[in-house]
Amino acid sequence: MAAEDVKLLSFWASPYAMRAILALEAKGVNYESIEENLNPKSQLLLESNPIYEKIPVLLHNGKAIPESLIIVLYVDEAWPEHGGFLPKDPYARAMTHFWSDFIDKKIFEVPFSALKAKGEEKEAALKELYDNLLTLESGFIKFDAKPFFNGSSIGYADICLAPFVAWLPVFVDLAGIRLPTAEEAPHLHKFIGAIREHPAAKVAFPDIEKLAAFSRSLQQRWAAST
Amino acid sequence: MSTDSVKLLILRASPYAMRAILALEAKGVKYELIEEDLSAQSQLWLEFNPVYKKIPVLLHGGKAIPESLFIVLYVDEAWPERAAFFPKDPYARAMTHFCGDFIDKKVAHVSTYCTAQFGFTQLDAKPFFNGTGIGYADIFLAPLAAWLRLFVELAGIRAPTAEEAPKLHKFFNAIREHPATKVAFPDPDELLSYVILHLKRTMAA
Repeated sequence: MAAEDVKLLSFWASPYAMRAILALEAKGVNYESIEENLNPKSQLLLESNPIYEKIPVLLHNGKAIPESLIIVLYVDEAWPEHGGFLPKDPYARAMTHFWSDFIDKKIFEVPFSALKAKGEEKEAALKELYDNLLTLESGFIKFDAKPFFNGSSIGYADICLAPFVAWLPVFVDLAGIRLPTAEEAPHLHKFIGAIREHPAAKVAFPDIEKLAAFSRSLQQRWAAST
Repeated sequence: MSTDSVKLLILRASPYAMRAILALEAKGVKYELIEEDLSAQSQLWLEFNPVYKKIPVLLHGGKAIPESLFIVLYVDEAWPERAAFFPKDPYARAMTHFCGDFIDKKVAHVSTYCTAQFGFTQLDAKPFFNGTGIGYADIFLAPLAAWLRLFVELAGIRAPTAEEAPKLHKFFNAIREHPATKVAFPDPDELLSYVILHLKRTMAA
């Protein structure tokens, strides 16, 4: 495809935006990243995503695609020539969607709840995350992940999970997240090691010190507003 | 594909069961419907859906696919030769995913019916999101057509009028006539039983 106009409305710390960046980088797409301030939201953002008014939004030749996972699927299908994010077999595809959904609902959000919460509520979130990570390990096993769900290259479920790894040191330091050990969840640990080395992650993952400072200021804001 | 047997484990009148039945009916797949009793001793689906422990679950030639969303996706791809649930164009596919996802998240809220209007216009619904045949987003919205009367009677929900939401009304009329819903939609008594069962379980929890 020649003379493409590809823009991504983004925010550097957003784990959802990171998914979109990973997808574009993995496919080698030339894109312009537009950093959104979010306060106030730009006219472009409000027009491109009128229903949710959130980033990331992909703008491809004037068409707007919102929602990080939908963007990842779209990128896979709009640039099919650079390796697929999903397997070919219908059952494997359905189960890729299943595990991505599990990651999105049961792993992605929970650490942020733990960051905000205190006491019993926080302990409950930490336990839930721990148990869900063990369940995720069973998913890695079913897929025979090597080390990714998608084999040796990253795919849909891997991109869905990856930003959790970007935020992980912050989750551990500021929220007291406990991961299952390498003995309990060897595939998870292999995934974490491998995604950190991936060239797409070098672009998508922000500097960890910057992220830590951002999270501390978020925590202060949450504490002040309760 | 398949001479492999297809079985669907469901709880009758559940909107999630309806999605799975609609998908199979729309594709003309031969399947065996197994209605589960939640109070039963042997809860077969626990083995087939260990992560969420819920039904519906689709069993196809020894493979178990849980959760209505993934069942619909799987059915579309395992039987690709007819009644495609998605258009071919990547952007239209993305918008179909978006509409289905939106409906899944927000379907209980009346105010969002008007935003469903937006979705219908975006995809130029005729009268379905997928054109003249039902597709992914239509399957997600369809159970609402079965439930709406109940919501209005039991919960006093105010549904948008045909003036406020013309495309939505066209959709409801069309889906009620669709052959797949003759099988998928429960009769009012079954629906009421399901609601009562659901209420009891929610209150007991």
